[in-house]
Amino acid sequence: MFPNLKTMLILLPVLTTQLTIMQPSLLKPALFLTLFFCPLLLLAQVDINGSIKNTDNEPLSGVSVTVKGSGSGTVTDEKGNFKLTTSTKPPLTLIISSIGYALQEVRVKTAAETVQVSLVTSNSLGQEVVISATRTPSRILESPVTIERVSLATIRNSSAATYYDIVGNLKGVDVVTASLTFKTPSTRGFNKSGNTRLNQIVDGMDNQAPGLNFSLGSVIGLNELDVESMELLPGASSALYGPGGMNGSLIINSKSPFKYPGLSFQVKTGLMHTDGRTRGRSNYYNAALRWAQKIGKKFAFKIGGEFIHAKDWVADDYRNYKRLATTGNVIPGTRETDPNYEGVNVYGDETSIDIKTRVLNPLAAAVPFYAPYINALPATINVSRTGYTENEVVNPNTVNIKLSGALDYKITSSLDFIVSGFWGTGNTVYTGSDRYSLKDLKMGQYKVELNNGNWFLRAFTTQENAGQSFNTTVTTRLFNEAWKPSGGQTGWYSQYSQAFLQSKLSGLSDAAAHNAARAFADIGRPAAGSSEFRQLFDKVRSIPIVKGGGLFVDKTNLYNVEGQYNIASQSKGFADIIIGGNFKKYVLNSEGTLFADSAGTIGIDEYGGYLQATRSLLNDKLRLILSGRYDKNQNFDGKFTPRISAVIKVAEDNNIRLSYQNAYRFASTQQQWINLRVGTGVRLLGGVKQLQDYYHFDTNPVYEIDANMFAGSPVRRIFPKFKAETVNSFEAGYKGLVADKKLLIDVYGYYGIYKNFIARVNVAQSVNGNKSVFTNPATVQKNLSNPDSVNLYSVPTNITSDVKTYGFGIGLDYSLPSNFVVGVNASSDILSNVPPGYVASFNAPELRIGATVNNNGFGHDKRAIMSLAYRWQKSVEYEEDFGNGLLPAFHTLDAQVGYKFPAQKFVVKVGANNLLNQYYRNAFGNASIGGLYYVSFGYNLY
Amino acid sequence: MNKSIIHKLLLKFLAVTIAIVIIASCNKNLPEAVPIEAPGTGGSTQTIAEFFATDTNYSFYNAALAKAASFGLAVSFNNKDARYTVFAPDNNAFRRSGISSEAVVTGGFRAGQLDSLLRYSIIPGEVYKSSDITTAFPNIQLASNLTVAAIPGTILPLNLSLYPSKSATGFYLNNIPVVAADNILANGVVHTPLIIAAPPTKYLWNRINTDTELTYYKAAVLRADTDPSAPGALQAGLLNIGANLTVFAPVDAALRPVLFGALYQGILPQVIQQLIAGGATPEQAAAAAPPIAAAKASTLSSTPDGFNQLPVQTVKGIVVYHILGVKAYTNNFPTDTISYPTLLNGGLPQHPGVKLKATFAGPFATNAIVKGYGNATASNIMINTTPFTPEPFGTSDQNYLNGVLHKIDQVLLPQ
Repeated sequence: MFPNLKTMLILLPVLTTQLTIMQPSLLKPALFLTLFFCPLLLLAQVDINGSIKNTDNEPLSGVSVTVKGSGSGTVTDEKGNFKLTTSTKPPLTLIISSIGYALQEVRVKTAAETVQVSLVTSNSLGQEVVISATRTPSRILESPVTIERVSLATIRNSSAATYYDIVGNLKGVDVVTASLTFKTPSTRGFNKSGNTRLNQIVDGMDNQAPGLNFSLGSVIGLNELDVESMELLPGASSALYGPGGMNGSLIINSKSPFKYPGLSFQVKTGLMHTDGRTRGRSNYYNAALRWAQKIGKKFAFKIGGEFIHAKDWVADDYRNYKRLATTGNVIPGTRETDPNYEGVNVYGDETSIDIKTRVLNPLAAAVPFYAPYINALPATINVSRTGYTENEVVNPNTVNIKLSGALDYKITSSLDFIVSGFWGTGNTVYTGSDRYSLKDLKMGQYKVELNNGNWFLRAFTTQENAGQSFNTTVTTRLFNEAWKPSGGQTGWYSQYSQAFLQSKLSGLSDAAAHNAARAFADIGRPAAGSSEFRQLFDKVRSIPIVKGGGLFVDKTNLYNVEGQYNIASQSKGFADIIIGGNFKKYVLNSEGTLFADSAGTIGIDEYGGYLQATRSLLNDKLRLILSGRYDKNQNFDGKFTPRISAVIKVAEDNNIRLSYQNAYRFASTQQQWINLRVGTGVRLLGGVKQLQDYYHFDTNPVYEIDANMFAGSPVRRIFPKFKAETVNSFEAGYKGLVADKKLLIDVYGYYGIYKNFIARVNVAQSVNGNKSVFTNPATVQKNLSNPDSVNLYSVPTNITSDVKTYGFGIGLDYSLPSNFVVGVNASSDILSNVPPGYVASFNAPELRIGATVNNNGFGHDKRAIMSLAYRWQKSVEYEEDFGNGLLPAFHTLDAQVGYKFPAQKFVVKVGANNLLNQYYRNAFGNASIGGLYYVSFGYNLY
Repeated sequence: MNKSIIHKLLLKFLAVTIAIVIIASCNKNLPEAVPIEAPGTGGSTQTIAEFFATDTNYSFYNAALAKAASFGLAVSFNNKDARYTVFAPDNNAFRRSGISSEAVVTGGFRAGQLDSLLRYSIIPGEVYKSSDITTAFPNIQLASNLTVAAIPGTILPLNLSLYPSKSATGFYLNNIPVVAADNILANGVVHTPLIIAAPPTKYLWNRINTDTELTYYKAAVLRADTDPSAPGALQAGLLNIGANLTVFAPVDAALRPVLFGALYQGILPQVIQQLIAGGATPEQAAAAAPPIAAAKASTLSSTPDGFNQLPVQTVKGIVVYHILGVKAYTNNFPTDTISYPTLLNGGLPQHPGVKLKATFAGPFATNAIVKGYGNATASNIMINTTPFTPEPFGTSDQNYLNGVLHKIDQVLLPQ
């Protein structure tokens, strides 16, 4: 079979567009995929016509009509009519769904018949259609894996200030809030800012910033008004979504300009910091606009934008932290009572030396008659420099601008050619190994796509620019050095030590003498916020890390092409089959500030393909789905991951699901190639062998920092070949409607075994290749904190023993009269079998409980709306590179009431996030989150 | 009851329950930094200032504190963030020191004098209980609270040193026995010495330079200082406030015979040579020379200038063999003999040094000896006839800014 000329002509401009945005090395796979899919364009197509009304015989517009088991679909026009073009040959089943109406499935025997459907109003429990569970539409009740869906109506009715917050109220989900606009959802553990085990896919594009390794969905993603739905797949999902989906995938889809034309906008304004606890009361502004227009029947476009401006939450954990490499713990002490104080969210105080051995003892040698007095002082006197709190060094203004646009051209009635792009910029704060002020961060994602419902072919690129982002710890330490160097005759430590001794000689106690010494050494220290401070700080933060400043340069890009074809119409009778594949290339470019790329950019190639077959058995009572995916990354061996799932229909609207999934992830680009000395003096290294060779691990061995080392017999650490991390996950669940379809139950339990779990391990290396620095138990601790003597590295490696996780979730939603729906849920995630000494960073609470009350129309003409969402979670021992510590249990309540003006298409809402304004943190060292109270005014929100 | 009423009731019940749960429960306040409690002294809650103000046995001391108030010590004694080890004479100690009443304290001294007097007996910044004091020879050198200068190039004050010590015979401040120890207070500890420890005002050299019994030792020092490799070094050291020495100064009566002997040994061969040159046979010269040489040596050694006739290195060797690099009071001497290096060991590290020993009656040494390696018998330290006799008549435990001086009755011979 050869592609016909017409199709080739149509594809030509697409190919050229793709090729211009791709690197030459991408040419091959792109061509391969194109040639692979072209023959499929010839398939026969049929048109199906119909109309949808309500029980009062009024036409319904905007109703979704999709062909079951394929990607074909459309929506009804203003008169309730639709025309659907599909390559699926009748007989087929249409799924007809609209918010507020019961979902209907309609059997169509021939293309000639006109479909007439009358929809019944319903509170719509369980009436949703999901796509991401199998990459084809299916009823949520029949999903083979656990899935949560956030619909347009949920977003519209939500009490959350942004749509991303809604995800946090779903069962089994944790959100790590690094700052107001930086939120990272996690499922099934390993919570962190920028979780690399959960994919975030926006309109088919992986939203992960390719260099920084975190998903920027909440910073640079869809404009709230352009979100059609969010689907969350907790649990392993690599088999369909590729490397990364170890713990889940969040799939966010935007609104098609054909389906959702018109102008809409929304303005939210609110108050934060109302009690002045961390900073003065301030305003919250959020404005969003979307305009979509159809031009004729073939062409439509949309543009949109969102602007957020607020004073950020403040990370204000000023507890004292005792750090050793990338582990540590909170200890008692304040700046006034511990000369070696290192506040969690205080930066610059990581610089610490032992003034006894490094200043006072040399002083004793110079002034011998004080030697006995100095000798009588404690053997070690560690003193840290005076730091600045986070709100003193990080710009308090959170600004977030998102712009998006798309062109959609219908080449044929069922073949869309789509060009779209998202671009965003903003200021926010991220928690990694240190706290990073992401300043003027920019990221754009651009895509061209051919989509026929049954198949698609897309190419996209992610273009990242870290802007003026800086590491707060490194920058503040360097700022201190720029103001007054630590070392030297007139350096800070010399002044401190002399003033300390002087104060002792005047009779002060140790504590008082330390404070007097600090006051003396800090004379002239620029006050935070002063122009002197600003000037010097801005100077330091704008010098790249490699040149001795705090700026990290990151212009890493990602290029990706992928395609998928649903051959259900051909394979019918045997099974519904879809196949797909992709190729991606990372181009790491940090100019040596983050990656080991000072000599030039580093490329990483990765490709993969997948296949899924679905077969219904036993009169549709049992549906078996088999999926598999193969991926290869140039730095790792190839990986095949299967998924087997089954849905057993025990009764209508009651299904049991069972699945086994194998998922995996290649180490993130940072885990492969990072080469960054962080604020605490530890060098974070990637796991590739080239980096270990560069630091001579072979000739100058590294030793584990463990009990053996402190006992004087260090153990050499040899890193084996770096492997992909995999998880084998078994899951069983039940979803069903009972009690007269008023109660929706969703239950799941899972068990996962992680193999080759990637964790960082801390090792130490003698600067001079002299093992003796580790063999004397009396001095090893001191040597470890002396950078002239020991290099510290944090190296990712695979844990050889298996790490196990298990957990459950249960959700109950009950439909009450007058449109009220109440829900309760509970979920749990537990980690076991972690070998001692590894930082697993599981961080999920053993128990979380949620409760919701929603109503999307009550009172006069059902114009009033309301929503309450409550969440409580148990305390967690939180572990992250930045710090470890107990995260206390907390609860939070979001609430909203609103009123609709249907004739004017307006909605007014008054709402609050964290209504009770009881501050909490959901990760160690992160911002403490208080109440956000808002009023919103929306127009034409569908 | 119909279904919808049940539903409405259920809804109300739910709403009320949720409201109660939410309002009743509170997030715990976010954890905040906890201060470290500075370790206390483990003593009473009274400050040092309060103690002196209330204990009538210290009314003289308190009067001195009050008169010197403008210098701030009284305020410092009230500071709970301060720490002091105070050797505070009680009223009896004042009386033993010749100050018979409060009126004498306040009338007989200027405020600044009193301030210096008190500060010299204070170790600032630390709490030294008697159990913290070393028994190792000779004592522990600690800075007092009396500042006399600044250390150039630093912000550090130059404070006079104190030498507390402990032994089987007692606990001492310098050479003064402590009669009541370890009164631990909120911001320090108070020990009571037998008498007031007066701060030294002079250098060792001032004494050597002026003492009429030490003219030969002075001359020896001056002769040794003509060493071209270190001109003036010894005198400078004996005038250096940073030094910390014990000088066993042989009195003239002891040093003159040694000078005579050394001169005689040097002169005798010269006289023999001269006699032979004058025509005598070697036998005749050897027989006739001794009285001539003795007469010459006798004349030369009759004044300290005789040292100028001796080789510099010989004189220097003798001088430095009489000096220890630490400050040792007689009460610091051990009851069993020990060897201790002298400054001679600076040039001859293997030299066995001198041997030291004392015998005690109560807290005081009644006999203290120092023996040179080349001596057949030990030299005696000329113990004061009355304890604590100051210069010019004191002969042992003479306290100076840069050391302590003991007169001895026999020259120490290094070989």
